[in-house]
Amino acid sequence: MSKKKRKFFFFLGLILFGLLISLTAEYILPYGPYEQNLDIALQAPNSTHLLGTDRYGRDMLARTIAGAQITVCSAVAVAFIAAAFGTFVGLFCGYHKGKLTTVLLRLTDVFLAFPVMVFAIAVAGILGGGTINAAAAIAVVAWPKYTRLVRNEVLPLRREFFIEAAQMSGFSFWRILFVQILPLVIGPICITAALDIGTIITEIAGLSFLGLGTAPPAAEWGSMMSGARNLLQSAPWTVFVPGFAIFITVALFQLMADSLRDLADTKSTR
Amino acid sequence: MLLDVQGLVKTYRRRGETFAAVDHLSFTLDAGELLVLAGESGSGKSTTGRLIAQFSTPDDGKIILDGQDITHVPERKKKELYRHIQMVFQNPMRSFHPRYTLRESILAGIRNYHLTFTEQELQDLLKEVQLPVERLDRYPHEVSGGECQRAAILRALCIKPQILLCDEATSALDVSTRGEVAAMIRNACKRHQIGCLFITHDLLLARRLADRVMVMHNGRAVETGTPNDIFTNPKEAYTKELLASLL
Repeated sequence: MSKKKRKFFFFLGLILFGLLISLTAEYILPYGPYEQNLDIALQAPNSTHLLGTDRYGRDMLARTIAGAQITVCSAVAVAFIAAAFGTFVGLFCGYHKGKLTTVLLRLTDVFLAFPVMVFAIAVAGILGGGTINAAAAIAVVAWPKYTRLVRNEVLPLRREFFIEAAQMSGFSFWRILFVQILPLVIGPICITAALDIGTIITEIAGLSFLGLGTAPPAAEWGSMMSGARNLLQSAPWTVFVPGFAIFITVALFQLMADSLRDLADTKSTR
Repeated sequence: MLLDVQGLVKTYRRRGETFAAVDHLSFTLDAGELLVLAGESGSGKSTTGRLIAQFSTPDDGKIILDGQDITHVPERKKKELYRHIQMVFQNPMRSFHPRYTLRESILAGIRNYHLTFTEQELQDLLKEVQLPVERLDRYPHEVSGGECQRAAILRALCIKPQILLCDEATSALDVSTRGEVAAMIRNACKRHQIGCLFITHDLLLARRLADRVMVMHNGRAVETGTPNDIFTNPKEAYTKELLASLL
C-alpha cells in the first residue's frame, strides 16, 4: 500500500473509530450523557469523571462523545444532501443546453451570493430552532458550489468522442449523465464534500451556539458550549472540552480530505 | 439510394465574419458503396459527417436517409436514428469510456438497442475486424491504437447500421496499421451492405479504398468520380493541384 493510501486510511480509520465509539458510548461508559447528579455538579476533571462534570452533574466525557453523534452525523448528512443535489444540477447544467439550464445557473448564482451563516441564521430563524432545521438551512446554501464544480468538470467532457459514441450506442440523456459522465467527476465531488464536512460541523455548532440549532438538553457541542459560556472562568472545562472536540473533529476531516486529494492527484506521482 | 444529401449548408461566425464550412453540398450514397470525402484540412469534410450524425444542425439543405428526412431529428428520436447510422471516430482511445472495458462499451450498444446477438455472431465479427477476443476485457488505454479502432469498428458493426461514417478513422494510426484497418472497413461494408462515408485527407488511401471519391474545397464538392477518373483524369484545377501536391 502506498504512503498516500496509508495516510488516507489512517485518518478515515480514526474518524470511523471515533464514530463507532460515539455510537456505542452508552454500553462502554459508566455514565449516560443525560444522567444528572447535582451533588457532583461542576467537578473538575478527576479519576471518576475524566473530563469533569457540567452544572447539572452530567459527565462531560459521556456528553462530548454523545455529541459526536448529532454533530458529525448531521454534518455528514448535510454534506451528502448538498453534494448529491448540487451534483445533479451541475451534471444537468453541464450537459444540457437550453433555457432551463440558464435559469438553474442564475439560481445557483443567487444562492452563491448569500453568506452561508447569515442565510442559515435567517432560515433557522424563520423555521425555528432544532437540529433538522439548522441542517436544512446549511444544506440550502451549501449545494451551489457543487453545481459550479461539477458543471466545470462536465463542460469539457460534453464534446468528448466517447460521449458522442455513447449517444450513438443508444444511451439516453440521463444514462449519459449518470453512467458515462458521473464516474469521471465523482473524485473531485468526494474531495470537496470531505473538506466541506469540517466547515459544516463548525456551522452546525455555530447555529447551536446561537440557539438556532440543537436545543438543550441534547448533547451537541455548540449547544454545550453555549450553555456553559457563563462558566468560562469558574469551570473552563465545560467550554473547552466540546470546543476541543470540534477542533479535533474538524482537523481530522480536513486531514482526511487532504489525503484523499493527494490520493486522487495522479499527476504528482507521475 | 440510401443517403441523399441535398444542398447542405453550415455556416459559422468567426470574429464577426460568417463563413460557410459546408456550402450547398449535394451527394448520394448507395448501400454497400464506399464514398470517400477527400480534401485538405478545413475543407468541410468532418463538418459534413457531423451534420449527418446530428452532432451539428445544418442551416439549410436536406438529409434524406432511406426516404426519410433526417435533417432535424429531435433529441428524443435520435436513438432510433443511431440504430441506422454509426460512426468511427478519429481518435480510437478517446472514443471509448476510460473507466469501462471495451467489452462493456460494445455490449452496452447491443443492450440499449435490444439486439439479439449470438456468441457465434460476435466471434464472426471479431474475426472480421481481426481483434483477439481477450482484448475485449481490457481498458482502452491497455490496447494499441489499431486494436482500439478495430474495437470501435466492431462496436459500430454490432448495431448493424445502414450507414457507417468514418471520420479520419485511420489518421491516428501508424502507417502499417492504417491500410489494414481501412481495408477491413471496406470489406465489412461490402459484406454487410453498409453505405460508408469515409472522410480522409489521405489521397493515396482514398484511391485504394473508394468506390467513388468526392474532392472537397471550401465546403463545396469540387469533383466527384471513380478513383480512376479522379486520379488519372482530373477535370478541375483544384483536384489537379491537390494531386500534384502528392508528387
